[in-house]
Amino acid sequence: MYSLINQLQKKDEQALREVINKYGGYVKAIVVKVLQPNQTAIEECINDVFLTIWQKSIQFTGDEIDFNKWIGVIAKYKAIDTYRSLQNKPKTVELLSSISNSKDLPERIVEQKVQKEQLFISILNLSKNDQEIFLLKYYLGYSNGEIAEIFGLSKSAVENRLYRGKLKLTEELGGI
Amino acid sequence: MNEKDFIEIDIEEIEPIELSDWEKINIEKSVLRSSSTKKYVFKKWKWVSIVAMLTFIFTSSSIWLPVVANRVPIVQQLLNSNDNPQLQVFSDNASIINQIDESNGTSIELAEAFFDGTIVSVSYEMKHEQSIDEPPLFWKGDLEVNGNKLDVLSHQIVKKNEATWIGMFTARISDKVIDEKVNVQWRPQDFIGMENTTLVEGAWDFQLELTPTRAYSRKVNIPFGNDQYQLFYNQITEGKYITTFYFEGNLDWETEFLMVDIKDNLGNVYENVGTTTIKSGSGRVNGYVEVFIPDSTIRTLIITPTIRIVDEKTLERKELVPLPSINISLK
Repeated sequence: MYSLINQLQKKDEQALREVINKYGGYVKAIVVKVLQPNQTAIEECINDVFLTIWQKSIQFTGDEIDFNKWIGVIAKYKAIDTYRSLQNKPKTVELLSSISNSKDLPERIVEQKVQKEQLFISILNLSKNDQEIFLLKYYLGYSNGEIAEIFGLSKSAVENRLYRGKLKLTEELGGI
Repeated sequence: MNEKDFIEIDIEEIEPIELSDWEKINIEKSVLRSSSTKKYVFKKWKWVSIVAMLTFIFTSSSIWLPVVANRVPIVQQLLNSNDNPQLQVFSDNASIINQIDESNGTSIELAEAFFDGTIVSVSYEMKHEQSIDEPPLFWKGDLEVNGNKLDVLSHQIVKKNEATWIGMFTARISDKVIDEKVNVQWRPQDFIGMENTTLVEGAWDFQLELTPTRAYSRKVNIPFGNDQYQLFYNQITEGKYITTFYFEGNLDWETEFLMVDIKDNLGNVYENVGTTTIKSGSGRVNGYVEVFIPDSTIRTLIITPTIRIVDEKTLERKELVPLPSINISLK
């Protein structure tokens, strides 16, 4: 498995084929749960998920189990993002404007243009608990109160996690 | 379900859904095409052809018909790899042909053929002397009906063993219903693969006569779209094999594609319905949507169009524009 990820990170097309073979059904199941019965959107989204995996695998760190979860989270949130776009809901909230307001973050990060895709992948490097909170906050634009309700946390707990996660994310994005 | 329900999906509890080989190939090609900075090597017609082919193959649901399959071997093998209910119609109505021609050490047996008044489908088996590792997706040469050359709409192929592939292709004969026998000539030459490499060399020749099953055609005027995209269906043809909705309207052929999701009054969902679009003028197109209706009691289709806007150079998707659904009554 490690070699499969390594080969994928080296842009080996055979590795891409194996990843599609191994995880295609898993990705499809997640995407279908969100987007059915819109077959056009399902097909587009599955392609988009594997494009992200192909382009961003270099940033993946972890073992086989982590890789499975990494792919699952990509599929789930890509599907939700597609669902939103079909519902004509607001697009992703820019992390850039959010970090601009933070005094704790270096200027060079503030000045950097954060691409949506890069942000998405960087968030996936956070711990599992923080990952979904960040995706809801910065990828889907949920308020702290809404996130607290979804995860059964207090609002201050969400704020704390976002604060801690931001520090880690800053390191991630600073290395771009 | 709403968005918050989706957020609560536990990805560790998800049971995979099986992907067909063709879906996997489609994903791989899509990824490599989107991530490549090289200019796409195929001409547009080939790209369209590939899309049509995949669309055909994905039009499926969970129906398995062992009795029918056992009666027609090629269909059985196709059903084994793709449980497509449209194959039942083919199997029930196809004429057994069993013509064999050999060229350059490769034999092709034209097994069965079917004509539904607008569409012709032919199944075949190709035996090569050596193994063919890559799917022989295209062929050079001609397909003619009553002397008119046709383009193949779809081509499904399955590897039987190292040196044998079985296939089935479909072509549109006419936008109008034909109610008399037609003469079909299929003269394939070299078979080529996805990367435009010649896989099998030779020249084969088949001729056959097919009698159509009954089909119906009617003119309609059913508008759909929005202020920006004003389209309408102008004709519906209903055959045993294919129901076709012809449309026209204002779309940029290069960058805007009509895609449709279809449900019916019985709750069936039609997957990956194929759309063919032809440029008819500046910013104008006409085309058709083909769908297989599996049950004669189905009375209404609910069609939800989406415009897929792509980058002109890379063909990468830029935006999906959902359009309002419309209901269409069937005969």
